[in-house]
Amino acid sequence: MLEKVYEIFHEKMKDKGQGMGIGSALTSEFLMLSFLLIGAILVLRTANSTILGFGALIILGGILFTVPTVFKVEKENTDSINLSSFYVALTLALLFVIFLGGI
Amino acid sequence: MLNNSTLIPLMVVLPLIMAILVNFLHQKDKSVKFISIVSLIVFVFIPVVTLYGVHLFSGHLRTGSFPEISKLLIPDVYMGIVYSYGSVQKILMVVLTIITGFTVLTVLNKKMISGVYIAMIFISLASTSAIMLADDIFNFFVFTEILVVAQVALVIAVQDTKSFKAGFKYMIFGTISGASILLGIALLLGVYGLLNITDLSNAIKAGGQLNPIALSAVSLLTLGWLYESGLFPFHIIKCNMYENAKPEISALLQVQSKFVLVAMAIILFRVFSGFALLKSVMLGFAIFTVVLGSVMALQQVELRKLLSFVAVSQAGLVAVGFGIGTSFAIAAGIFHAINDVLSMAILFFIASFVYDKFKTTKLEELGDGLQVVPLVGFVMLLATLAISGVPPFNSYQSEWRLIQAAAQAGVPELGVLVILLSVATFVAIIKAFFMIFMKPGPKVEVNTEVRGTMFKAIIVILILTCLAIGLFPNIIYDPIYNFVVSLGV
Amino acid sequence: MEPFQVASFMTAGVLIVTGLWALLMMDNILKKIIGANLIGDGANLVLISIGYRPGGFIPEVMHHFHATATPSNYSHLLQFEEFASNASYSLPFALVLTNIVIGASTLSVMLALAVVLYKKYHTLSVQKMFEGDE
Repeated sequence: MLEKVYEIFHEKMKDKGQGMGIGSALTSEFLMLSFLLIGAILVLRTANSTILGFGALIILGGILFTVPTVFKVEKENTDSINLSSFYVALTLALLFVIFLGGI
Repeated sequence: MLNNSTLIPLMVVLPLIMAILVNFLHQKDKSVKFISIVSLIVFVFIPVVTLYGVHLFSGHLRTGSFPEISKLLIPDVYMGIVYSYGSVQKILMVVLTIITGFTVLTVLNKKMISGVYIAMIFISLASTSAIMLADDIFNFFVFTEILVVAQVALVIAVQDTKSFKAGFKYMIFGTISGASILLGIALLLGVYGLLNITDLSNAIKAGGQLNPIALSAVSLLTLGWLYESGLFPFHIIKCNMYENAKPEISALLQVQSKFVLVAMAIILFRVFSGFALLKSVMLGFAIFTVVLGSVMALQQVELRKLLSFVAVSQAGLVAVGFGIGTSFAIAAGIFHAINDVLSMAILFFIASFVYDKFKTTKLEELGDGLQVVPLVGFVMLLATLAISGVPPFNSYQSEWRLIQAAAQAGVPELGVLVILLSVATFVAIIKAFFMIFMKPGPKVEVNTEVRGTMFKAIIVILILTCLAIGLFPNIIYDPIYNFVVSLGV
Repeated sequence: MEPFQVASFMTAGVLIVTGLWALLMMDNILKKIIGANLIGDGANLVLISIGYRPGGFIPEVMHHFHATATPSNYSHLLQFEEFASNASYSLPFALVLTNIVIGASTLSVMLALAVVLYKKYHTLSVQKMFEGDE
């Protein structure tokens, strides 16, 4: 299975530089997946432990279907002015909802 | 506490006066050079000799507020603008002025010296100093706006289309965030009638639970904080700014952003003390920034963009310290800010040297650097270790304290995240180091005129500072911890 | 709250929302800059409306009040009850004046950048100018 993952990365990074580029992309993929798991644990630990266990397993399962995640993350983080404006508007709304709603 | 020190406002006023003078003397290179160097020595000297205390502008003392008539919630208020200077401000000011000095020296070392450019650097120094010193929230806002304009001016001075676009985007979002901060201040003024931060924090403590207007003010001020610090969703815009400025200016911009992050977070905690949701929200955005910054850094193939993303993710790590919220974590966060600006400054100065010497910063086109400039390569290796949290350098001390604070606060998963970030940062920068200095590269044209003695001296001084702080961390850490404990946040 | 003050706040809200919409949604670079300016104007109006006092007068102590305030003691101003209960709040005026100056300087920088970008791209459409970034 690891060869399949490597082939996917090799294909998508044709213009970015092979070898070291793929190594760092794999590192970033690992970091992204660890973050998703840690984030899930951090948020779900406030609920009871069954939800935590099931939630973590579901996320782990979901991850296996969405590898590689870093290319999607890279597309979402371009410096396009429209994308940035969308995220700013989303953040402002989120802040108001969280603070005024009270979690 | 009421000594009316006159040296405190000089830290803001003197850079502004020197900026006007240097701007006036534009195109008279020798005068600009002389005045800049003398000013820099004075700017570093003043924070060192100033005693701790407050400065009350126009001598307006703390006085009674007539609560029956004025309906203010506290009996005593400051009637004028107050600047306060403590141990944390001293350490931050000294680091800021030293790195500003190094930046100006590298700028003066080039053939074309521009008085306007140096004036903008001095204005940004004055604004950052005022942001750190101000105990008045509107004064703080004014200087954040001035800082945005000065930073944009520094970036567009490159006179490249990409830098114009980066500056425009920064200004657009700067307007939104500036209006947010102002609206937040207006709402707080409407509810509590106060602008002084000490008075506001006492009034909010006395006023009980925050009403919806005050909660709106919290969300607006938090948005402003996210912009000023370069956290999600503004991390891309900040990266754009760092990437498109000259690298020695990026070294200065990242110092200013991190110190404004620290100053504004302290202000938010002081004003809204005891509001736990604010800390959780800050933690959420900080974690996002840490991960996105390091994930993007690992993908980059150009040195300046790579360093920009590393700088942004490290800013996120500082904010994680604030988000955890205990005194230990906040002190660790502030300590990490200081350590990180030093190591990032070394890396940006090295990027500037590489740009001057090899005329490109694209990693594919570089190579064989160690044969040409072995000292710079060696310092870059040490800086990589420093920024990744490897002992005996300074970031090890701060990251270790952050991990311990996370474990003590009951969120050990954050410790795992910090370690993962360290590894990711190390991989990203060591890849750059290898591709610039060690890999046998294509024939890259070397600019033999650039000797880089000034650069080499600067980066050696900075790396020795990193080593010294790493070996003797308590000289810097203990005053910070005592300050945070005395704030009572 | 007085109806006039409520209407003032609502106008400020309309200005801010219009400015925010123009800033984020419009494609023309000048419309984005105008939106940015509208947001600042709305914020200024909020500040001024906070200081509204119905039937109030300008908070200047006239010569016949004989104000001799020294920094250490303001309690003798209590005798001017008419002034204290009828003057409008003076602090927002100072804040708004400062903010107008800040708004003018940021507006000038943004317009200068718009001129430079127009000279380079010969279009005012932000989509066309920034499309290379995607």
